[in-house]
Amino acid sequence: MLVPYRWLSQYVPGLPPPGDVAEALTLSGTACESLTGEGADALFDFEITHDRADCVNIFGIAREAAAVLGLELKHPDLFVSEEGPAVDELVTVRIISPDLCRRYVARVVTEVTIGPSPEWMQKRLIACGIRPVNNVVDITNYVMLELGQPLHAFDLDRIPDGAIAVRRARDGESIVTIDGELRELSEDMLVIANSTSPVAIAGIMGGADTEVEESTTQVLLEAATFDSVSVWRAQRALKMRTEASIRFSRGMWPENSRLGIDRAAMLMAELKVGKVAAGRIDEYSGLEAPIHIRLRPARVNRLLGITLPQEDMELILMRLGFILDEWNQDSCRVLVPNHRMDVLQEEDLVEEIARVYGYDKIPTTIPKGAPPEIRLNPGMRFASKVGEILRGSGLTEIDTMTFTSESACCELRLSEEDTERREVKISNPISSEHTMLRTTLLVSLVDVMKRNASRQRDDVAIYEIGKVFQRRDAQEDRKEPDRESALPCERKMIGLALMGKLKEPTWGNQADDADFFDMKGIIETLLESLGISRYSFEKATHPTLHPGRTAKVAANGEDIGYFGELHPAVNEALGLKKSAYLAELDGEKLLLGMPTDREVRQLPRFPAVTRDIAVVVRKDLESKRVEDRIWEAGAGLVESVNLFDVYVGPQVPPEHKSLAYSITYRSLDRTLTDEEVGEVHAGIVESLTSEVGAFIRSQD
Amino acid sequence: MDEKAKKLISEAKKSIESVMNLLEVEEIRVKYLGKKGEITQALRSLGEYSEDERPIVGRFLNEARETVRDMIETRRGKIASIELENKLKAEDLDITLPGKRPSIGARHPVNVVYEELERIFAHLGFEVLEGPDVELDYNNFEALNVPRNHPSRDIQDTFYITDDIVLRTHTTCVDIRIMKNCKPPIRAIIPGKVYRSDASDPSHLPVFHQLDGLVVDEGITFGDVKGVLARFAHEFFGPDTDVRFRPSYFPFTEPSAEMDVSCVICHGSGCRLCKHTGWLEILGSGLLHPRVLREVGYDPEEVSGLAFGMGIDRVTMLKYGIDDIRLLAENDMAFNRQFIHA
Repeated sequence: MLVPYRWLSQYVPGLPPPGDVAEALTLSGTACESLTGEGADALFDFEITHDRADCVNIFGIAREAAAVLGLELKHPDLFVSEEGPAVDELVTVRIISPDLCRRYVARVVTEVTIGPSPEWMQKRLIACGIRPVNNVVDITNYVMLELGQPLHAFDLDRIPDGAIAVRRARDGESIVTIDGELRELSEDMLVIANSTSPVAIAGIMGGADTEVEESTTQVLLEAATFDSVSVWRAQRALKMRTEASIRFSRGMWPENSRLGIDRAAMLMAELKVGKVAAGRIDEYSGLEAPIHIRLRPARVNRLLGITLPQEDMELILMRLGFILDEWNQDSCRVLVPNHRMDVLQEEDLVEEIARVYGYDKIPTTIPKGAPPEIRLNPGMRFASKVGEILRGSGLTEIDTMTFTSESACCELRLSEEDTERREVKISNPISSEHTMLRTTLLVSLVDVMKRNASRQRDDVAIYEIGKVFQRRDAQEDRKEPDRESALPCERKMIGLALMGKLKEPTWGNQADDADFFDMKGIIETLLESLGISRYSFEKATHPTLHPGRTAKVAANGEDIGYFGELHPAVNEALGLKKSAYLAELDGEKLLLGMPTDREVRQLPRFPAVTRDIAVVVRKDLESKRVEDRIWEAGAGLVESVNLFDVYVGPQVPPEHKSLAYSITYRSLDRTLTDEEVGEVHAGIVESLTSEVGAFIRSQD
Repeated sequence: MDEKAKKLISEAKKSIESVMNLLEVEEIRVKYLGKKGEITQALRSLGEYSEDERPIVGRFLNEARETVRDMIETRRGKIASIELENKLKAEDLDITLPGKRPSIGARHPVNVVYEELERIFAHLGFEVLEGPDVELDYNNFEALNVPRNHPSRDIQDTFYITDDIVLRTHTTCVDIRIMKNCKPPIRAIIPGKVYRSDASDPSHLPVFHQLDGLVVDEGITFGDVKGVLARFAHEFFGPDTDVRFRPSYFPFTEPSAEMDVSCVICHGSGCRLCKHTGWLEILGSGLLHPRVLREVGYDPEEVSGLAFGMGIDRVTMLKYGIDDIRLLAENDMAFNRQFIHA
């Protein structure tokens, strides 16, 4: 909120220089966002916190400044010189919806001469960002800036019989507002109406019909206390944020309506706009109980960690306008001034005392109690370990937004199952790219590859540990919408993507583009490093991936994810230049599959014997079957099986391939003899020949 | 005999000194000392000499054999060292050629900073707890003293899934879950993604990261709020960092405070980053509001609590001098790979 220094100083005689005021107010909770101009011409821009409705005006800031700086506060002049007829001969007001309007105060100015307002007033309005219109409108705006009470001026001649009703809008009613727009109203909106139709939307904007113009001769001034929630809802529904609606939404106190109307009337008379009719209409039950709070100085000190004497607390509160009485041994009663709608309980007084005493004077301490038993978060340690392994494998971490959209899912050929039935949709999205939460990390990985490829960065090796979201199948229970079970299922996944070179090609190392087996190797390394040794791969399909180059991954007998080459059609549609490989693993299942402790194996005490063997099999036979046979026929003496070559070419028959294995034999309790190894090896050859139709190309 | 032997030795010496490689040295050894070598042969034919001559010739030939053997060994050693020297010379490297590096991935800067925060707070006895991104309106707002259909909802623009379910606007909602499930003492930090319906611009993203902190115990004071957070600021921004606390407003704390630190660029003298104030706003904090304590079943007369929340993205930007928050969400390899050192 913009506050000219000169205007502010009018209410606080002896106000220190602008810089000191800005500092003092900032440190007591009224943050000065900027200070421009010099000396008396300085202009503050204060950020008023949401709870301080009483500070969205110059006088409110002056009240703060006076209290914080310990200076005297001068109230604006409210003496109205009245002339002419009594106001109730001219106007009647009926509040039909008192729940939405606690107080309605009105005055009338007759024999009005519309003209410009004085230059000093125009200057102040302009400094505060408001465009001068004419003397009547300018005075209403001036008082709003000064006291925070929004006012409205109606052309009284356009209101038949001067009869005003404050009521809810009727279904189907509409009004053309001052800005010339036709506004459709609904029953939950409050309006000011004449005997037949609305003349203003309460607290937001007046109607064009009753606007004060050149020809206006009689003005009805309104200062009311409209319900903040009702104005806030209407302003949202109508998408109209006005100076008035902003102030009403924050909250208004009934006493301010009377001050506002008198201040405006006083200015009308003083600036000779017209004659102020005698008296005011004041529809106000006035039955609200004042707020009393019991204050225990000991508790104040206990919560703040200080030892402030009771008298100092008293002084601070009194400077802020609180009244303290009914002292007993350890507490007193505090009456809250009516403009402090934010102060409702003892803790609010604690803050009042602390902020004026000075947050900087409160000593810093460390919580005294013993820290609770720390439960190490296994998920966090797991994520950090997975990250280390993957970065060690050359993958760079990404962190993406969890949003996606129908079109992005379609682009990845994700089935209805993913995009339509299980996704969590945002009911008020702000962008067509972010309409729902992702059901798979693939969308985010692909998005990052696409963005990098569009910037000529075609070599991408990335991972993300992030959440995916799926709506639960649970039946909607309308009776208990607040239930936990209504929330979607959130799972932490590990996503991997490779595209292009894993390593920068250098003089001794012409790196190839990453392929399927680079991805598989990274997954194997990850699983091994997590201590998961029982894992396997099985051919699979996924809509986004190449039908012949996709595998699912199982660990400890449970599916934990999948990986494969991005479907060439998707790759092309995305405009990627190189083949891409994607993987998605379930982080939570992996975490559960990690062994909690492991025993160290004894070092081998007897020598190993290594034999190589080249096996020719049909091209479509999975190498795993060959390997499984070797292990099975190995009579427990096989220590490791390493496939070191795969050959397809003139040396083997067509539609066949040669797999060359290096088999290491070792016994834990003796040195193996040549005959023993020869026997087992022969058994393996026999098993391969008979069980998988292999023939042996060579062996040593 | 003498003459003959001398000649033999001098010839041997001459040829030994003329050879340049180990192969030729071996040839010479065979020529003189091999099974059919000249000296060997001569020794074998000692029988041809008379009884008197035999010991003399024998001794002489033995000496000759030793002399030649020594000469050969010496020569062999010399050639070996020359050859080694040549070999080493040939193996000379241009050590300025680039090294063959294993490829290493980089960490995302937000997570680098998060881990540092986690470490700092772990030293102060905080454990790490998490909660769901998609949250009940109750936990995100109502239990935190932000009623439904209330103007205070304007403080945060919210993505809704249904009327009752939101994308959490802060991780403070996890405070409610923790307090409802645990008894004090509690000391926890809660990291996670949070959501606001703000369009992306250099200082806003609809999804960003927050770290919330929660301490509940008997006798937690506002001084503790200051103490814990000043510790953090000095650890994170450096021991010379100035810290100040300003009164502020959050619906779930009372009293509330905003913490500023002296500007990381100008150290307080005023610059563009701190809008010439010398201070940077870092986080919001305060003592838990009694309504929040009562809502989770605690008695505000018995226990008190402190809470704070900071944007991890914001402190990341300050730490690395990043001027556009969108860089943190783009994952451009040219950006992310820079954090290989982090």
